[in-house]
Amino acid sequence: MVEATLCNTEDSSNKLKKILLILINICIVACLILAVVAIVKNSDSKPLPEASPPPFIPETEITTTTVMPEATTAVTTPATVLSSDESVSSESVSETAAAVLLSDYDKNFYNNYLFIGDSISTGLYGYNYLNAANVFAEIGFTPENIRTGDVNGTTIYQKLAVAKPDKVCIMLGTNGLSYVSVETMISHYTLFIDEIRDITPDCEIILFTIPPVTKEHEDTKPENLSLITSFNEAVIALAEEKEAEVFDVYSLLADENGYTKSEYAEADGLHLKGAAYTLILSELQVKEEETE
Amino acid sequence: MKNIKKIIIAALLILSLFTACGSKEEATVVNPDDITAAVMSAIEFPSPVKKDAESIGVYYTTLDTNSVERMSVYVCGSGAYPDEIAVFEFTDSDTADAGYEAVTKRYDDLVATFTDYTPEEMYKLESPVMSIYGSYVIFIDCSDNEKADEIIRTYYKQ
Repeated sequence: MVEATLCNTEDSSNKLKKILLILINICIVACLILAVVAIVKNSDSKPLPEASPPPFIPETEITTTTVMPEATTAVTTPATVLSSDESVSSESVSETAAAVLLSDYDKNFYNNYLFIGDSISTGLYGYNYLNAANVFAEIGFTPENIRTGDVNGTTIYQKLAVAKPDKVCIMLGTNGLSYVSVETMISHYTLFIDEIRDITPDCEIILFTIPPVTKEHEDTKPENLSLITSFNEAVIALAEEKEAEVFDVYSLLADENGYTKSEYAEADGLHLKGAAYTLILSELQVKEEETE
Repeated sequence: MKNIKKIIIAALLILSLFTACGSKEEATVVNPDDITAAVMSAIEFPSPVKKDAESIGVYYTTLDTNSVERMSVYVCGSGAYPDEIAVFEFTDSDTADAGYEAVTKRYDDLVATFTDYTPEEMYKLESPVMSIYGSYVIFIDCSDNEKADEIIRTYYKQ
């Protein structure tokens, strides 16, 4: 009887061992499967398209301006996302000998305006001062290639046909200054104005003079004040010929030597800081309201 | 009896591994604003301007903002530089995959734009941070992408 009891105990023990071994094997397999799934699902990178190498190495170092945020707060410019009823105030105010320049504007004032330009004009929506819908601008646009180019697949002519703006403000010419003659650029500009009028015959056209550059930019890059001044004189003449208005951005932003004032100049000396745009929009609004 | 004890201990050890595997699968929940703040505190971004769901469309043209739970995106407001930081939290990992495609499109657009315009800036686009962590998609191109990636990885330890 003792032997039978011992045998029964041994059988139970063996059964228990077998059960535990089976459970362990199941756990191991399950763990392995989950590990494989985790590796596949949580892969932390995918192949990137290789970027084209730069065609040349710059001789000068580009310095950048920064806005350093605090650890828990988001960085905002003086005017970011605005409600439709909100007016914008900027902290920067420039003073000339003749008048105090303004830096307040009403974003809604420009609801029926279309600003056309190059990379400098992208700052109008880049800084959130205007809605992107009111700006047709792209890096690299010139008076010539804007007629054949597009912004996200939309040509300027398609944009004009859909938007039907009351006023069109054009600031082109910075690109191409150094390798295209003023005469050639103005000839394309002339055709462009004619084409705008064909599509939107009732809209008023305002030609902007192009901004200055800084002394540092002039010393290192092809764009210089002489070229800018020559082009702007031609733009003013074109406006008179085409019965368009002129808005003198250059004079707004230039110091006594004709270079961009430091408070308006981006680090590259060509593009503009946010304060320049609020000034432009404020002064333009005043001018437009006076003529209405 | 001793053998049974050894088997039980071994089973417990394996079960603990099972638990560890499970914790690695859980998505790390992070506020995108915290990530961008951390990166921008360590690395200079020129003229950064924050974008929201209404204003981001002109930059991320194929992004479905309806699938974005939260985002923190800064672009260079002046248009002079390609520097950009974008952290998107999507509704799930499937929409994150689609979001990654939208981010890739944005990257391609930046490369196409700055290659001829300011080629001296192209180094920022040569090795950008472009990553998916669960439902998060992160894109950074800046003057120190390696450092940016190190900071990102502290939030998504694997």
